[in-house]
Amino acid sequence: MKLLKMAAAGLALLSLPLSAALNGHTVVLVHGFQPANLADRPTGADVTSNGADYWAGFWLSRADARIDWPSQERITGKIATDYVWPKLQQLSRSGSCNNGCIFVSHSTGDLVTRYIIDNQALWLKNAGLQPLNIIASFDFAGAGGGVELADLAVNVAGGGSWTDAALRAALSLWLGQIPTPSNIGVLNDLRVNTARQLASFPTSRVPRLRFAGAGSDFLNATGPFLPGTDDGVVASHSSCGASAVGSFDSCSANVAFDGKLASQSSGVKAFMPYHYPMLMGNDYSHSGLIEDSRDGEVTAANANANYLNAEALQFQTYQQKRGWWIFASNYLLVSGSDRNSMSSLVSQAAD
Amino acid sequence: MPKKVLLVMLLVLLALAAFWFWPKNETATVAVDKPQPEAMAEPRQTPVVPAVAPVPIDQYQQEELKQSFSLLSQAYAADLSYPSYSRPLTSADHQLLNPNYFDTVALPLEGGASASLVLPKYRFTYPEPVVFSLVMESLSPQQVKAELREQQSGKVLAQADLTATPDSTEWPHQFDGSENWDGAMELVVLFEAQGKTQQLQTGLDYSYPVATITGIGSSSSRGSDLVIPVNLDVKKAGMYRLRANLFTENKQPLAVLTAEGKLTEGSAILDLKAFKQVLQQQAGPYWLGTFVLELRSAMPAEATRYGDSKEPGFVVDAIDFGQLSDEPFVLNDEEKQRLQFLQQLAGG
Repeated sequence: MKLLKMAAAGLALLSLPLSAALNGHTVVLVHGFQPANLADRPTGADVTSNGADYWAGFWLSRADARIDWPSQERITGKIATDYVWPKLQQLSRSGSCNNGCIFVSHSTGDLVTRYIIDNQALWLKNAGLQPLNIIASFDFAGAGGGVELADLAVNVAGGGSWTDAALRAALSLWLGQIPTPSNIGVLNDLRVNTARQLASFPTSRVPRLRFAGAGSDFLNATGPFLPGTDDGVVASHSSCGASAVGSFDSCSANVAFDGKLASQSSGVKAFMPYHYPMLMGNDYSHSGLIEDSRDGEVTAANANANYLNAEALQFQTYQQKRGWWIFASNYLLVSGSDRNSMSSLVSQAAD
Repeated sequence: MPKKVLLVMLLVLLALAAFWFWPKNETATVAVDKPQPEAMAEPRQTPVVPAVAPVPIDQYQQEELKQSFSLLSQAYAADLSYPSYSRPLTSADHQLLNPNYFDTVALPLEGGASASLVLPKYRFTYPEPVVFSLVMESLSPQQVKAELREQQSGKVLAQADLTATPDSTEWPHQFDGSENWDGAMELVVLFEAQGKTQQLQTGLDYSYPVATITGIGSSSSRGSDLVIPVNLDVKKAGMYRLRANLFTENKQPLAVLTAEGKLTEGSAILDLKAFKQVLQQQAGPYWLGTFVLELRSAMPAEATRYGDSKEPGFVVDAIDFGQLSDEPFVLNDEEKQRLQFLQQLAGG
């Protein structure tokens, strides 16, 4: 499977257009946590290769640049100095962002991107370089609000005989192993408190568009250890960009993850500054959000209250003959989501 | 229960299940004799046969996503109607009202028990002690030890045996601060129960203050801004960012204010500015608090460092509200481009 993915990545690289810009803007990819890195400890070309592999499913051929980083390192440490900083200088020197860059992030890439948004201007100015003009970020399954599983993984790595067996099994499914204290790496940064304190409120007002899923790659084994609705790795409080940790079941106060139009008592109602929920997919898992495969319908997370008015929607929603009217519900579904993946919908809309 | 009743119930359940999982694409129709909104929706149930010919739902695909981007661009435009140095603040802004909040993540243990480390905040400042508590549910350890370690080196800075509260559910403790502590720390607790051990840990930050807020000067009006000079005693020169929340006299949130500037060692002033529109026609007096004073990272690998305040907050004198002008805030070029980009996505 990995070989197939690498082959696809290679083909995608070969077919990379001279400019893959969206709407005339350079696209920069920032990938997420890669569990295998904790054991493999890749460096140099291997990090680059892993980065291409990570995005091979959809975004690789639609991007102009990538910021690749190894997960065995810390964000404010080697990830910043050895991987982020050289790429920021390169983007500045080449003028790639002069007309505006769009950062596309996945999972921990959301946190790395926030750290970049907060620091890049000062770092580049101090180095005598032009700061990057970042006009927006598209954040899929954003982990910038922290990942409870990372807190638990760090604790389990510390050792102990009292650890819940179901938790160990869930962590093994996610990470492929139980890490040791010496190879926790970026999991340290992903812990809920550490993540939420890292560059928590950048001065630059870059709009951060959130795309969230509620499926699971792990048969829901990780769900019991995450608050509210989750995508198998990240809870909604993070992927939606909520201003507080909580047990949220939707990124919206008006529409559920499956598109059902109804008041959401557990919906996120307050967000981190300049974070905006865009799309939700009930069947999209953490990794599925950036792939080209369609996983069910997609709904608009920023539906306004008017959508709750069934008349305004002009849809008939029940069959009187069948007498099932008490079960009738309105669903808000994004057009085209019956044929396209969420990433494809976003890419088409932005181009 | 008679078998017939059970059989009937089973049939009803099967009928309900069949209805619930009925394919959605067979049910989506829309009446065309009414004006169509930009939003799209798809019902789950079979619709009433419309009086006019049904139109495939796909006809409105592009409208739908544009509507989403339109709402987004409107929300972003509303956020940009205030300058970045003066953002409105409401009681819902948990993160901005509690910038040093610590979230507890409980570790599930065997037999339904759990263990948590509870801290009053994430970042401590010298000379504050590091206050914490081990909280146990459904398990009572016989022995509990705690260590504070430097995160990067693993060096142990402090350690102690913990004592339980009388009800044996909490093991509170505090490590007295040291002026040599600075940076990311790891609080590690090791407990033993029924002959088995377990480790629990969490990250925190300890800062030796690089600057201290000593007070505020007299407020004044400048154009459409209320200006509040904040006095600082700077111990380490560099680029600083000061954030503070402005409240009414009754502590109702009004705005989060931000000031940035390059400061040299010694006495310094950073001016916080509150845009007229965030003051909600309130002339004061106000309360200024929730300070976050950062010495920014000047280059990669250089950590952000923090300052503190002599007082948790200060009273800001009332002003002559009529002196504030109504001149609108002007976006900078980058912000204009961001807004234009989102408006383009909305088809505008």
